[in-house]
Amino acid sequence: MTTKFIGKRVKRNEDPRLLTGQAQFVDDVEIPGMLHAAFLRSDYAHARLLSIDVSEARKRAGVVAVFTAEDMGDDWQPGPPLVSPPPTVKDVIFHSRRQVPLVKDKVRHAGEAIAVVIAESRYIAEDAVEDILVEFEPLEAVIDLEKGLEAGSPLVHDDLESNLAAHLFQKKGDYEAAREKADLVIARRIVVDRGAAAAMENRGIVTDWDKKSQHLTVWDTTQAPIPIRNGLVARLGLSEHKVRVIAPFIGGGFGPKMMMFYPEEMLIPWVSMKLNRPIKWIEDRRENFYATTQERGQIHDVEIALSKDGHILGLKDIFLHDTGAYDPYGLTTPLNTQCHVMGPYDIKNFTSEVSVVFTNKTLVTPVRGAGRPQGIYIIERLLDIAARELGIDLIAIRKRNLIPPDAFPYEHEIIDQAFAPLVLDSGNYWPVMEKALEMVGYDQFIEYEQPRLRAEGKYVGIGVIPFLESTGVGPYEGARVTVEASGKINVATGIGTQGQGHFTSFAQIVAEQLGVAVCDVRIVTGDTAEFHWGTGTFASRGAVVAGNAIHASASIVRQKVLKLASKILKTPEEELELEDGLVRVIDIPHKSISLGELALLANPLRGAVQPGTEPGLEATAYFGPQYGATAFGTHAMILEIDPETMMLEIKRYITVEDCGTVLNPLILEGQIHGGVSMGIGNAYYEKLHFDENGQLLNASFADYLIPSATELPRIEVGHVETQSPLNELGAKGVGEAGTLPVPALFAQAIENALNNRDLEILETPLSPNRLYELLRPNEEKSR
Amino acid sequence: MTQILVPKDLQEALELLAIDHPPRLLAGGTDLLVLRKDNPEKFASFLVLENVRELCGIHKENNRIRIGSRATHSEIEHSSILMKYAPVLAHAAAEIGSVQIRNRGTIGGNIVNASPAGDLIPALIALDAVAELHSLYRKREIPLREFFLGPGRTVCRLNELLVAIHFELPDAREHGVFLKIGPRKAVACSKVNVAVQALMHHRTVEWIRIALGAVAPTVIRAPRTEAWLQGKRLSPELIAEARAMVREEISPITDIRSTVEYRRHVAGVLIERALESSLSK
Repeated sequence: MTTKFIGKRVKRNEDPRLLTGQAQFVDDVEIPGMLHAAFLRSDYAHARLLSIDVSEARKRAGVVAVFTAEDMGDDWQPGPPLVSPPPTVKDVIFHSRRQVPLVKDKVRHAGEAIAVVIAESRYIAEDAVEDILVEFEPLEAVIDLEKGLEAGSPLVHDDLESNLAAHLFQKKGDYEAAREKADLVIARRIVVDRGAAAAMENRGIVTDWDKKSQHLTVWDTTQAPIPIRNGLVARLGLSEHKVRVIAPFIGGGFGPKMMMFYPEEMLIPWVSMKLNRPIKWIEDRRENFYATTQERGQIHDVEIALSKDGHILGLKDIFLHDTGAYDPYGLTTPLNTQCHVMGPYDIKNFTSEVSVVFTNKTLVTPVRGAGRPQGIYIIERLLDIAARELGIDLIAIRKRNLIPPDAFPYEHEIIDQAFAPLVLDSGNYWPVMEKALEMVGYDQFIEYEQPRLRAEGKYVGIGVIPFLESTGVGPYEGARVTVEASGKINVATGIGTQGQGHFTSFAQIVAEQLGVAVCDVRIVTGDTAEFHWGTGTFASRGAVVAGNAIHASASIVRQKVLKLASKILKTPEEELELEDGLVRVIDIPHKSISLGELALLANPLRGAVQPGTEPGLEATAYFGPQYGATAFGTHAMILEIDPETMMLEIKRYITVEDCGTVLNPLILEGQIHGGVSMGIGNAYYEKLHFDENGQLLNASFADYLIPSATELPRIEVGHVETQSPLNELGAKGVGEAGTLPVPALFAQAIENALNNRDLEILETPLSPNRLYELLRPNEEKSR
Repeated sequence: MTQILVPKDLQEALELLAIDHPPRLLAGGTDLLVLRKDNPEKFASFLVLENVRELCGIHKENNRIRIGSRATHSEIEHSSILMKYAPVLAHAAAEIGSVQIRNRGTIGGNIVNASPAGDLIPALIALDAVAELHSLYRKREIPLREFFLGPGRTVCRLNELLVAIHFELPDAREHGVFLKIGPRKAVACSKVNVAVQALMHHRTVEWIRIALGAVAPTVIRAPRTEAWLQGKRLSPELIAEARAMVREEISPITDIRSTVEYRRHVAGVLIERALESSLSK
């Protein structure tokens, strides 16, 4: 389609506000009489709470209140299940154990909140936290996934027989039969460890309870304000119209700020109502390391069966998934792993069995990628090993197995994170991969550059990893589009914004329909008073689901505009065009009326109207996809590694994305750059070190190092567009794509660079130190 | 309540220090303010050094180079005197933290903080630098290699002030190298750092000083390796032996930043590279 605004590199509407410090974040909210909260958190990962004495804290000058679980009375309730109970798969086991507002009987992870102090200032509140005396009976902690499932292991939840939180078996075809016919079967154990999302802004909440009007306002760093509103309404016994949740500008979400119902999210509004005072709580970085959710810990015992020409005959994956102390987010993450472990490949026989394990560690919920990077890492590692054993080129073995373009929609016969059958809607994979190979100069590198650089003693390696990503899942989002009397357009949608550029890409969608400048479209996100239906920003769904709802609303408004203008200009609708904020007669440009004038005329102050007339130029519409759209991409990288210190430098980094219709390439590239940075952290820098007692040893940015500008390469982004048939815009999500293949890419490129050293990488994250350890046994053998 | 004392000169600073529980000295604050965050009660009183001009400057005096303890890492990094006579120190300063930290942090602070991984310390020890400590009643000079007692511990008493660091003006034929491995290229604590200062004559080592950080409780010299190298002609074989020797001369630990094996290995690699760069001169 020819477009005027969609697909253009429009600069972001929100940037002037953000860059000049004018944007409002939660911590910017100041209310007269506001109190501050600080939490007492457990140092132990696993301990029985014997007694708690808050009397000294209550006496401290400036302290207004201290609450423990006891003080909450009947209002003490575990959080709501965030994602509905597990699917109707045969023999599924799922034990729902939700996080509690304050620890009552037993601490289940270090950093779990035990008491909250409310004081005139944060300083006083923090000091008063130190006044609280707690008696613990320390218990042995469950840290290791395998030991956690052994008989006799300490139990995270005493009422369960074991630490098994869930068990799910899925299959397609007949793996065992496929294995019988295979020329090669490769079995490996592959381990993925935990990292933090490390958003620039920590979590924060400000609540304001107005007793006279019985109205609660909550500013929250949430990706999903409407579910938070709904949960608060249910818990606090208020009407939906008496609770307003606002998610203002947020310094990064990355998953852990989803509709979590963190203990603090329930407690702070509750306390605000109890005390009849506004309250602010801003998480500090140390709290963030312990109390904000994390991801990626899994152990896979995996087997792949191949023919000697490299065709995948079947895949079998038995894995353990660490859910931390509670499992409010159900099976989303391990289901994503199951759905991505087959990669973009045509695999007919598949068996997957996941055991989800409770541990005495911080809760696990989706972090950008949400189980997908693990799946991608597994299949791509196996293909690298298979290629080597079969003597087939790394690219050839992948090309041979890609799902062909005529096989879409491709049915995988298992269920996905939405508990719906996993169907890949559309795709044309090889051209994307081919473009990445061209951009990185693959053949040239292999034939000429690598041998030349090797001869100079340089250890350079190349990696190319294709991957798919399920995106844009339901249930639905909505939007209301209004033409205001000023001629500017107001758009409200329910999802939150954490830096995705919604104020621009959504404005482009509206501008396309209504012929106004992008800067004249005002977008409101994440305010339940402005739009109160919807879910949130996660699962790479904003552009697809909310974007299409906005498109639908704007299309209806366009029809209303045309209908009214046709009457006023006495011209048939098909002879009118919407340009420059005007409705014009196509061949008589001076015969026109502005959208603002039309808006006024559509809202008359006097006179009779036709029955059934709706005032204004406004429409509300919703979009719910039949199922998620599947995006595809390929990353390629050339790196050089110091063979002694294992420090590496990325020489080239290429991504080619097929996320369907590109709304704004500038914003897309920003998303990809951010995603790749996060992936590089996951691959080579970031790992949370828990000791055997469940203590996090690197809970600060001095020891948990995220890659900085000096580690990041220039990232070259290419596009290919295969539009999704599932929505009008043809869009697919891309928010998580940048992160997904990076660990697999690092492993492949590092092996390629050190190919003389008999290295097989079966874990992630890596680090120079870890890589040195992996190589050392080989070196010792060869001596 | 925090007490902030701002003396106008060295004399007043020393007077304010000459009491039973003297205030903590605050220069750039890049280490101290971080420490204070965890233990505010230990830092009730600060002596701010910003007006004490006697602690400033980098000078060539007679046959020595004298660096005031308040010289920032940035000043050291960009000092023309140091670039010319002691590039090992300028290069070490350039590796510290970030630009912001280098603009605040001082050489005196880096020394008295006594981190085993402090980046300036190996360079200064390789230059055989001497610390000049003043109290109200006396002045003493301590070679930096004898200055450190353990992580965060030095011979500097609470009533003393580190006024300056000085070392003999290096001969124009001397060669110095600083190398560091950290978990990230910038704003990261060293896993291992090394500084080498040597005088070579036709590839023969007339003398050499090797200092290593983050491989022992304090920054250490490698006296056995140094003595063994003296008088020998550098060759790839000799360097390989020196590398192996250094590995055995250090006592690193495993912590979350790194393991014993990796630190031992990388210390050897860095020494090898430092010697190779001497070879190429």
